[in-house]
Amino acid sequence: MDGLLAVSWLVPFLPLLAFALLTLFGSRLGQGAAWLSILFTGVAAVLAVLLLSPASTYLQDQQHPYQWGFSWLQIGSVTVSLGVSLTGLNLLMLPIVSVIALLVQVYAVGYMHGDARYPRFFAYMSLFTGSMLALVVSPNFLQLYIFWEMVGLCSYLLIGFWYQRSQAAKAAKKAFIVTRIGDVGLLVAIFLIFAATGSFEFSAVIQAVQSRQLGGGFVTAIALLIFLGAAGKSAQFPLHVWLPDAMEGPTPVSALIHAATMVAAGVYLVALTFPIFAASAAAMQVVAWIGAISAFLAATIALAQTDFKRVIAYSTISQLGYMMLGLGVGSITAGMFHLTTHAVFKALLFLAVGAVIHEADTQELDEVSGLWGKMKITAITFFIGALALSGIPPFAGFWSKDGILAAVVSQGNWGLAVLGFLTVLLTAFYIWRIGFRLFFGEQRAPHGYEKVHEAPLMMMVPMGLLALGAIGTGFFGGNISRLLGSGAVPEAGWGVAILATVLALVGIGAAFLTYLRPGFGEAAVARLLGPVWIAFKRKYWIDEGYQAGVVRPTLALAAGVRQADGNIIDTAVESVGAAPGAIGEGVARAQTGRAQTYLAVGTIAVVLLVIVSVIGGSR
Amino acid sequence: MNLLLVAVGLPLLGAVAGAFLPSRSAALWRWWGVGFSLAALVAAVLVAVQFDMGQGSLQMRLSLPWVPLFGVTFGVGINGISLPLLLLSAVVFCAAFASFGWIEERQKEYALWLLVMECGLLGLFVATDLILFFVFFEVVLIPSYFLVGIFGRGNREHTAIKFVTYTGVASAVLLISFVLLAFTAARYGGGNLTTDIPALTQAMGAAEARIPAGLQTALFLAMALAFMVKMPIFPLHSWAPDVYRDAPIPVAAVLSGVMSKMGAYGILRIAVPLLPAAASQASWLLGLLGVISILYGAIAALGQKDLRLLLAYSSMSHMGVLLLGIASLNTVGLQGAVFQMVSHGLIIPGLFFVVGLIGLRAQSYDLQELGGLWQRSPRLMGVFLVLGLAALGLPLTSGFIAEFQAFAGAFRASQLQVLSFIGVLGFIFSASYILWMVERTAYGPLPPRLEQASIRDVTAMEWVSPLVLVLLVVAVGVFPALVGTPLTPSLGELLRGLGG
Repeated sequence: MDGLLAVSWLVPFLPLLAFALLTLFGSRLGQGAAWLSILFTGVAAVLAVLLLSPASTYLQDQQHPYQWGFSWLQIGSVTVSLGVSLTGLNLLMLPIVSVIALLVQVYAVGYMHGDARYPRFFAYMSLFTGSMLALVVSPNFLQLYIFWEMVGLCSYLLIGFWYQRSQAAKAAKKAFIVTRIGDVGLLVAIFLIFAATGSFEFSAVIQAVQSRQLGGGFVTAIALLIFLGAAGKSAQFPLHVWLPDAMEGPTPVSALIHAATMVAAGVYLVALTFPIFAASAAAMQVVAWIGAISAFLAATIALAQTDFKRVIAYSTISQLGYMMLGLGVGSITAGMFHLTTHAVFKALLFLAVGAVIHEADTQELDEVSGLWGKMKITAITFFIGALALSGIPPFAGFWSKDGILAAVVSQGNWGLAVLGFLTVLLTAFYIWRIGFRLFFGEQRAPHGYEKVHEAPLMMMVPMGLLALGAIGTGFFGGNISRLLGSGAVPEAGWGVAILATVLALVGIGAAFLTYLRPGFGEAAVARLLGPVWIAFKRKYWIDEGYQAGVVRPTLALAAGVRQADGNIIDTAVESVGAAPGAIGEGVARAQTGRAQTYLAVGTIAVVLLVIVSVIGGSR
Repeated sequence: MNLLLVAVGLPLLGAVAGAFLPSRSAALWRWWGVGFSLAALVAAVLVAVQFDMGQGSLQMRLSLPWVPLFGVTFGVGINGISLPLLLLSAVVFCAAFASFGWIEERQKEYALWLLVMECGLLGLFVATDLILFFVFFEVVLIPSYFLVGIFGRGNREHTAIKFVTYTGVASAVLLISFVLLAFTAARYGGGNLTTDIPALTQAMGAAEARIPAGLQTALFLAMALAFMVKMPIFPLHSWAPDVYRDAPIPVAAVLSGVMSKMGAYGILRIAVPLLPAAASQASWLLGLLGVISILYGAIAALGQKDLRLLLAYSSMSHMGVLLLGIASLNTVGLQGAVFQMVSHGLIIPGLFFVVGLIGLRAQSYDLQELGGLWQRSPRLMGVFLVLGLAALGLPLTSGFIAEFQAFAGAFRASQLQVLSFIGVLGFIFSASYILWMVERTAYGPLPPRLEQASIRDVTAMEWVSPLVLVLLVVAVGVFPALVGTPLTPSLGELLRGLGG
């Protein structure tokens, strides 16, 4: 099976090749574009799964990961290479990314049917898939950063896919700029690491940290800068503002990029560079607290939004917060296990609401409800996803969230634990609120309830498969921890599991009482909570805060510089230039005169040089 | 015959021979220019083919006595630093001639002046004598006066005068410092007066300890000042927005893409190797001006409404990155600086061509009057987007690997670390103004005014110049060794001279 390892580079390469082919010939392929993309991603997915066994055997036998690479650029004596490194962490990510990418692309065949830029959509999806796979096999920081930005580019292109809509164009720009703020942090960390160690290799950095060659403050700084990058990509507070707006993109994009894979790259990055974080207690605290705060705040915002796609986006922020929390309290296994189950059940939730959007053509809860009568299969898959998200046993989310909560409890930080458990309650409430309101109650849809049907088969099949995953992936915790070699899934006895389950059930019950019992409704909840509900609904005014505190001052500064550059610096130059002329014979004449003078001087100078050279040469 | 002389001589031949032809047909002059610039490009490619990638010292060296009295030689040669710039210039001039369509009258004059300018630029990058370098420096300036003053738009005469005056003063400073340098080397080194750069480098190296530090610093700063005007670097930039706004698009492309590199090349190839101690002393100042240019240019770009002015300030910001890379005075930073010369030299002309084509279609360069062009011109907007992404440093374009190395070098230089922390904010601003520019041009609905206009996608002749540049931007981004391989030995040699 070593032959398989030798072609592991094909996993990222094939989707990238599909992108190249689609860019060149996509418009001629028409509907075939989708199948080309699916074929290449499919082969990559099969390879990624087949690699698991030989690569982990290699990892155990050789005590180091399989590596392959080629020299990309020489910088003095440093060789920068690109290639493939098959660590346990990377081996876990490869099937997650490729399989979900495959399923989402199949779904998109139905979802994007009839779109004017259908081939282009699949070209971008291929570019994303290839870049994300190349990111997770990176042997060094440079390759990681290259594809880190490439997936960001794909996110930009796909959020703005319907570019005629100003909202989509603005959301795409916002996503790119906000994540770039984080990216600059990661970039500076890479520069500092290179300055200190002269290398971009992960192993070199981790070795330098573990052998204590680097000062404690320096390590903390690097860890925090890396985390800034991770927080931007994984939409953690306070850089989370781009992700809800990113829902302007087509729903398959939201499922693949903005739920299952790219936004999880931040979590992956922290897991990948974990030894750097582990060497700094302060950095670990920051990771844990930012994670817990993001989990809690996003869940509260999700309670009050009426755009149901955005609710799920806030849910993603919240769940990514859980993963960061797991890492921050020291368990890579817990964080990565939750990343795995979340990728499956959140993709499922997006695809299910995507089916609703596809049929009902709205994302507003107030405009559509009672779909159970028309979309039973969609409803069932949605509720499987909702059970997994709320953490009801034996669905996937229960096992992985339990791991994180257990890790928090065993660390004994009660502040974090309270936020973690409260979020369980909120999570159950907001997702079942969506479920109850969409599928039950009055039967209506904006273009007529009678026109709504189940989505086409091409969309239903991936939803069904993901639903199976949302039930099943929770049982693979042991395999994941063995693959990662980072310790077992944390356990803290029955207490944590029972408390979490009870809280989730309470949340579901509260949603049931609020939305399905007559006489009580959202208006009552809003009255009960008063200004708190308004704060949830207005997302704590964070966007407005950025607008007033960052965007407008920056634009004002830019306008000021534009003015000042013309008025002060340029005027100074112009008056210095004009002074001799003004003294002479009036500005206008002098100016034309001056140019001729300068040219005359220049020409004479050249002529003189030639004359001198002729004379000099003859000597 | 020395291939370098062929490459430099072909455009000159075109200019001189063309002067005797009648000026009637417009098409003739387009193909005349394309023909001679393509021939020069072929010669430059042959130079690259014959170039020994493993060698760091000057190759294809030719040195004839020119003014023996003052030790002036007619010397040419090429190394791994000048080779990419020679190729770059040849490519950008071909692109400029291919996009001839903007010039509606006096095509003969236009083509001939542009050929003279090409000769000056190609010559500058292969000159190995200070005086010859200076002659080429001036040969570039004179045509640019006519090209802006006659063929520009708006207040073109005023702009051309300002440009010539400003850079003319810089030239004077440069000539004086070259002469002083030659005399200094002769006096303290004890040898004959010479302006041959390799000989001067040796003489200055040997005499370094004896030359007063103040004199070295003064000479270095004088040269750096003159060179920074050309790039331009804050606060010596105020000619640039006017010129880039008023020059005809192909001329703006050539000036911003290649002429601006004369300054950076001069610092890297002349000022730093000849006065290494002063360079290292003053490196913080270069770094400071670099960082100010990065941020000032980027913030000013964010405030512009005119597409060409936006590119002008963006260009200045990228020159700041280049200067910061030079200021690091270490391998990775200098390599980044050379990459940035090539990268920016490909990106900014490409952007000017695209912006010119936008202007032809929308009859406006004002961002507030544009929008939605992707619907009508998807190919043009696709190229615009890729070039824009390259300008904001997206990986797998030349812009990334250039800026990455320049900053990696700056962070490695202890005197620049704090400045570098401030400078990286430029990455955020560049993303902001570029994506804003793309959004306001390509995305959203078409404004009503453009809805009625019949806007077509690009024709083949319009397409070729930006397309070639964009392909090169991606090629260098994906295979940076294209630039890096010939560069490594020459940079090694340069750094050995710096004692690093």
